Amino acid sequence: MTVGHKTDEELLVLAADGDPQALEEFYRRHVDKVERFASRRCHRPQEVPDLVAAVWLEVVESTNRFDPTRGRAVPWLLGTAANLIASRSRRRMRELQARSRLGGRRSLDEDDYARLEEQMAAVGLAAELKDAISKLPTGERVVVELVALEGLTPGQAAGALGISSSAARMRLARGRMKLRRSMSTPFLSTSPLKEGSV
Amino acid sequence: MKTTGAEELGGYRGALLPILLETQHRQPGVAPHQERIQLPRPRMWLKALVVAGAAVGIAVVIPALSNDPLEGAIAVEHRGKVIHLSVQDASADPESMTNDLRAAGLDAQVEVAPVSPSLVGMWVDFFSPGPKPDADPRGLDIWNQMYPPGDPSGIPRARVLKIPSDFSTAFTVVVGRPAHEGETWQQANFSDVPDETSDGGIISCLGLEPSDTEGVDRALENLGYVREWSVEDPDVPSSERVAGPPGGKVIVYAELLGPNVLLISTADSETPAARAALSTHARQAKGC
Repeated sequence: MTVGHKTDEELLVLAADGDPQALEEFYRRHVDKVERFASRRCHRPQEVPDLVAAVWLEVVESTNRFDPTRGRAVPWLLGTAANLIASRSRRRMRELQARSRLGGRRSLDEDDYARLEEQMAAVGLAAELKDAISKLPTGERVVVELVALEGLTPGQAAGALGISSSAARMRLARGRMKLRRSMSTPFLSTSPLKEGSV
Repeated sequence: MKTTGAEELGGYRGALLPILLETQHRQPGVAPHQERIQLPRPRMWLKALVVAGAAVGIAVVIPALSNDPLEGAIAVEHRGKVIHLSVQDASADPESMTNDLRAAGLDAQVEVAPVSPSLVGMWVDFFSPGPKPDADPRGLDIWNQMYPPGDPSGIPRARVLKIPSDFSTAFTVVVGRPAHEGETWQQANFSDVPDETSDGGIISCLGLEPSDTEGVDRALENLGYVREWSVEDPDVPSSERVAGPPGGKVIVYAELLGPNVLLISTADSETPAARAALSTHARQAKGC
């Protein structure tokens, strides 16, 4: 069976064992997802490559921590990204590492630029929400981001972050409550924040 | 190394792929499936025997392995080409810790930071100049030791820091020290900061009424707590600090910021959070 037929979880396990094709396949399947994740957390397209690279370097060096019996691959991927971003010093070190390794190749070509601008515009309607989320305490913010922006269930977010399901739900409920109070746009009424995410 | 079709991705994403594959290639070989096998739990007496045996073994073997164990505020053990550093006295002044490391031949500076109890005596941060041309790239490996495998919390901490004995780049490490009374933690472990309104928490244990903010303030003051009050205001995205206990509000959450510093969040009594807090309080067993 080629890696193209493997599940995400199988790919991560193979990648942890050093299979380059599995890593490449996993990267190809999910690089868009990580880029969108990074776009939501950057202010300018030029900042995105460093963060995307930082997340993937973190992922590659963490694949041996993935346990398929404890959860799915995508929540793990996004949880790894969220944890990296939540830790300023870790993010800083990873971005430095990425800059050093990518060098001039991290500069954006026209296609990159257009795609990232489009992604940032697509999430632009949520600029107020993004700002409000950024002001939440870290524990609540990370859970809210994973559930509201990345579409994970609270249980998946809990698994991705290594916290109990009840702790994730509590943080999510508190984060949602604060966001609802701070937002006046109809965005929240149609977002996953409202729809059965708790 | 094969990078099938990296070109298809294009742009920086295509350039990143070979770097990731190279990073994967350089990873130390592990067999994660084998590591994940759960061994049956030994009987307690057997466990105790094994632990005791291991302790005796460590006591015998470690001195034998160490060429010149130095015991100051920092224990320094030379094990082959690696220096093992562990904190012996987290309350010592950082200068003496720095001296311990310099005596071991390391170009190091030690700083200390107040941390929550479970992080005291741990290495909680590491700085080196980063990937500058003259910097030792192994700095990243040292920094990675702060993040225990399998722990997704993102809270940096290491009991023992292993530094290559020929690591010549200047670096700074931060030791977690106990916080003083009235001080806030610079870093806290999640396990050290539960919601103090939940079962077993200070507010719950004292049987205090969440709607009596002034009464709670007095009770906590009598116990020596520094109180920081906040109101979750509908007009701002996050809590707003207020000078004292706000009247007409309900305590919805409380969290320790330091050994005797408590952040108490309140909300309007008609809010869902306040109603939930009151409902929880009604169900809680009083006392501890």
